[in-house]
Amino acid sequence: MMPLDLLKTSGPALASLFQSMSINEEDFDGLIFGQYEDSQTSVVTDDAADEMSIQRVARIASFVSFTSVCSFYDAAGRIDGEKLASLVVGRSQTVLGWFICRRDLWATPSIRDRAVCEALPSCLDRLQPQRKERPMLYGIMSATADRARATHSFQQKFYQVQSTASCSQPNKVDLGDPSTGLSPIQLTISNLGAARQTRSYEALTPVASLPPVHLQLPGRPENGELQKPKDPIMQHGKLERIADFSQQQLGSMETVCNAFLAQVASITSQLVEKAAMVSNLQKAV
Amino acid sequence: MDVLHPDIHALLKDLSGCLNVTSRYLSKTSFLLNIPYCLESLTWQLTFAKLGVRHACPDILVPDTQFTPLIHSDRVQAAYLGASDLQQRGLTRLVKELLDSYSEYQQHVLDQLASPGTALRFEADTVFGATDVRTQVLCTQSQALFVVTPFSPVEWEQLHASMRQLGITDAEQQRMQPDLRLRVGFPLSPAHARQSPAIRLHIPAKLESLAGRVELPSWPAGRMCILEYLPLVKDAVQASMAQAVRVCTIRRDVFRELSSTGLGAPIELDTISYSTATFDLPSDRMPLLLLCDLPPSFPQQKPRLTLQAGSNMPPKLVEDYIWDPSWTAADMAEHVHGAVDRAQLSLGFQHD
Repeated sequence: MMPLDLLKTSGPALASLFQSMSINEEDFDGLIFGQYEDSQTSVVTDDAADEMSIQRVARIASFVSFTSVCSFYDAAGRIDGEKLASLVVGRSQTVLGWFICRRDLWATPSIRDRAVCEALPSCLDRLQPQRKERPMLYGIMSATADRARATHSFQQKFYQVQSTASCSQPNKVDLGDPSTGLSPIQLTISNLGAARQTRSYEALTPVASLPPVHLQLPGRPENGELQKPKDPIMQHGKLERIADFSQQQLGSMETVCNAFLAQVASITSQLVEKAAMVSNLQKAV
Repeated sequence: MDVLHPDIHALLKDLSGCLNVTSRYLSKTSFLLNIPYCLESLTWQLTFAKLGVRHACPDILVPDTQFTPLIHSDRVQAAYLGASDLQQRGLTRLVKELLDSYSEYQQHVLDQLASPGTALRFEADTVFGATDVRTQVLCTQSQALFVVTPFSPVEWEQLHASMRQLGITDAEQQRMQPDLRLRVGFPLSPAHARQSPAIRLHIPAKLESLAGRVELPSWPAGRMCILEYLPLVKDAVQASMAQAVRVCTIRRDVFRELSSTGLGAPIELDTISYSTATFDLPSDRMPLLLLCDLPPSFPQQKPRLTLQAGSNMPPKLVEDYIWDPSWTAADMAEHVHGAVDRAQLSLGFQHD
């Protein structure tokens, strides 16, 4: 498996994630969507033969956040195949990996995160065969707010998860070998800025897709019969389930809004930039 | 600081009570844990996904990125699944399982660090090969630390009689056994490979206050290993305790003899370390007290005797008497009594 050389994302996509972090009081996780690209560069010189180099790039198009942790895995880090499939199947974009956001902690992988990183690539490969032989991304974000919640600070770290074949030995230790396990990768943020910085964002088209909405209502009678009122404890449990469901839906709606805002921001930036280009052209004429 | 959620408070309290872990508040759902391991402190972070136990899903952040216990240990997996169970003391169980797993992981790290033919390799092979020696290892950047419990429970029982004489109860003795540990730190850098390791004996505070410091034998570089050194440590501890028992016995006997020579039963007596006693001396004028303090280096140093008569007289120190540490307790008591009598007379007190 060839490692990634570059990781890119757009400002609006990252901003939408930061906004989710600033309004969510608790830890949450999510999936990273985007595409893998290989760009070939051939350098032609007079003195030597042509040199061909391949740069492997992952472009993050959107971060899909969920309302809490353990959204597609359990407390012990084991992947829940059905949940993951419902989140991934039917999407046109490739799942590049996953991320987790925590509050007031080190931006470092937890023990459970490492278990998820170990198990997730093979599950994703089965669901999306196009991403086979590609390293998976794992992002860790940490948000801290001051006492008055006036200042928020965010940290982000990304790792690529490499070959997992060597991890079958118990407690494999490779103290000096970065080619196995998690190896850090720097994130390049392409912002849509003023016209003079047009080179920085290249041919980037940020896409913040809609998060999945689960339509299965909790506690609905399956055989069509009306259920008799049950004892108060059962009713309480049901109410809690409905409350959780509503919270989940609210979270999804929030992400939709964020995605929409991100789209608006990107279109506005493009307009500004085009206006600047037009004015430049006019000056040139 | 916000008020802690009662469930989280209960889980942390149990953790602190069982494993002696201290936790520091970072936020309502995140805490910094200081976990005792190898006579050092591991700093891990604990995070709860939500408040309340139902969906808390606690998780631990460990700075050591190569430590992946969830992948390899079914016991850690089970502990993670039940970690938020208040009734089953889930969090304590989780940290305990993680510590066990961490101990195995550190052994593995040591295996990789110790090159064949070195003293470290030899120690790793012999110490972990010995079945009756409980060993923990921790590899830091500069040294490999071995922490060994020298006394097995059976050997510890042989010391019970001595410890009982020192006033240590049976329950305290049981608690002390795993707490008495020897730490041997081998330097990891090749430049210091030939140096003797750093040795430290960790003794429970109460035992140290009663038995005193244990003088450890020297470790000749290149000609000693932990398994050879352990019997020497045991001998040193036993010798130190035997000496403490001897000193304690002579102190007790001195006070007993003082009572029988005519000073009467002491009105105050320190019955744990037998270091001080107060006697009410028979006198014709006003109450006269004798404070008898035995210094830490007794019997090499003579007792410090102070006479105190009422509040209008300054205390008088009695120092002019001869002393020999080789005397029996009865001789010592006799000389002390003689000196006190002389001092009483010089102050103008008469016996009844």
